[in-house]
Amino acid sequence: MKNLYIVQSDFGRFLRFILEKKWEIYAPIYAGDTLRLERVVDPAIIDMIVIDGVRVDQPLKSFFFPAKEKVATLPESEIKPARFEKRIIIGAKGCDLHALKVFDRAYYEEGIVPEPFYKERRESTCIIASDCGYSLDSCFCTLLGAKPYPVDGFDLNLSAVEGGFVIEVGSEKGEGLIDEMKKSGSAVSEASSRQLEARDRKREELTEKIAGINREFEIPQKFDQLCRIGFDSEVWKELAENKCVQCNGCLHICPTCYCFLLYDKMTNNISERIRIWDACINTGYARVAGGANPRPTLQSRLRHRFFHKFLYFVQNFNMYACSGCGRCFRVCPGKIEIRETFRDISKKAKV
Amino acid sequence: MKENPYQPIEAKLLEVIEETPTIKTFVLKPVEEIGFKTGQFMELTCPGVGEAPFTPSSSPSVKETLEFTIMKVGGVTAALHELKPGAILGLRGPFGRGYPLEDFEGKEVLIVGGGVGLAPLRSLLLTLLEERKKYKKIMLCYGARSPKDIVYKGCISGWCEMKRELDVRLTVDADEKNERPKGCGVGLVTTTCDNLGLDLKNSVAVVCGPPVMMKFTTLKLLDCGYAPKDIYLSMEKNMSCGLGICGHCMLGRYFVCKDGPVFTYEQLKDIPNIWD
Repeated sequence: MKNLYIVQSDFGRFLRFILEKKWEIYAPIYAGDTLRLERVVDPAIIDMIVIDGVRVDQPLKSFFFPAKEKVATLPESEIKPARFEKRIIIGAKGCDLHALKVFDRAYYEEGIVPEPFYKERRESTCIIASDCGYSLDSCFCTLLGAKPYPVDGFDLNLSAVEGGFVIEVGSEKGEGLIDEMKKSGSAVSEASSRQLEARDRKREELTEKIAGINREFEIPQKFDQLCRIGFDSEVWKELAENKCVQCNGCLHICPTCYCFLLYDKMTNNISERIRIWDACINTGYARVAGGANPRPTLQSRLRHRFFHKFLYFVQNFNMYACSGCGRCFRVCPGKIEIRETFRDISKKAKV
Repeated sequence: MKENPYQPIEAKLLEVIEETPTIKTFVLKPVEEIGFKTGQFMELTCPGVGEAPFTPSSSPSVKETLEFTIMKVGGVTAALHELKPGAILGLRGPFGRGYPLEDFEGKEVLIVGGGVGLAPLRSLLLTLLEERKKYKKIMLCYGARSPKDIVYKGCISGWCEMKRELDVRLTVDADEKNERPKGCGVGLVTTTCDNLGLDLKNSVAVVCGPPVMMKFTTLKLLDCGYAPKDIYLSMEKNMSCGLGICGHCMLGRYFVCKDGPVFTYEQLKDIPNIWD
């Protein structure tokens, strides 16, 4: 991959340039003490964009898979997924991109046809990713073998170095963005070996730091192995009885939870089919007409949530459907922790 | 399938046949022809109410219309039971893998159905009978709760006449008023699987019915000597999108809507709680 360099002020110039051309830009801005992806409309806020922060509050899925949308009607009317002219998401992190990869597998490969609503949005969006500048205590990408910087799945990646950014070009769409940078009058040069070394050093330091935070959660078994031996673990019962209040928070904030519910409603004599995010911890999620329920207890549903992410997805695609972003833990009123759950299963399995 | 995979094709309800007090067969004519393989399922839309998965009970060789035999058990099925001929419904599909007929060729095919579970099996049986010569033997074992719960009474009496082409064994769980048809026994459907007189090394068994019936029939067939790979099960799960995405029908790593609904017991035997 090609490595380039741009100074921060020139990157701002590029953003102002494409903003004037009416591109739709989303970028991380502080909202209190956390970052949120905000639509950049006013050029004045370009200077407030935080490239080298940490993952934002929202899961990236919400940009490709809205929480609620109409997908069909009967009688038939033309419902087409939105295609964006020029939409850019800035500041996606390594974990965000891992989650998108999970979505790509599920929505392009796992399904019998590529899911058209997701596909249109995905293909018509550019992603300018960036390295994490710091981490949160809830971050555990390294525990899953991932890194706190994007390795692939981006159009461009930015690494903050020496008052500017090393730019890695990851796709043809990325090449197009470099052209726009040049058109905007910004100077884009080859990255120097010193800049690349500085980038790599920062990356190593942060990787080591996150590994340090997670040292107490290191266990001998891999998470999928623990699922294989942990079906009957008492841990699921403990989570159900002592912690989970079935608020759905974890599933909605999860960047890889891709399940949905279809329901129909009558509006002005037209039957509308609505798709909303769904959560496998809900009682009726797998229930069939007549009442039979494959997962009637909360503990069986909680286990399914873990198993889908850490066993079934591994069996089907050889990757975890978890990015280690820690969002679920931060929203959970019962403080259910993925790392802690597996550590508990591991501990109890040894006895 | 439509370009928009959530979009149903309109289908007109031509006829409603009352099978039992709680089961009706719906004859539908879609505005465009829908081809399917026996055992595949479709999503049937009751406008404004919702969608639910059903396997056609008619033969795929009948192109113009499709039949669905549906028991009134939930919201969508209750609304369907209220419908009169002329109503416009929606169909999406077909979805999933049906019965692998090519694997049945030259074999003795045992079909075991319970209650309304005979619906997909009727489609299979009609298909097998159309090319009867391809199969060495066909046997149907069917059980219902009581005589009034037997579906396809007309079909069944016709099948009973076929003697050389088709062996039929019928049973009801209970018959308090002594109303069962001639030749029908009393006892659970598993009792009809005693002394099958089939060459189990060259036989496949196809099972469909309520979960508890599927469970005990499978155990019975294993006991008879069937290999897990020769037992075919139509799994009933909450298939919703039909595309293998939405997650509602997951059974272990499988999406029943895409990897099933027909599975061999071999595929499922290591998954915990498959009968729940």
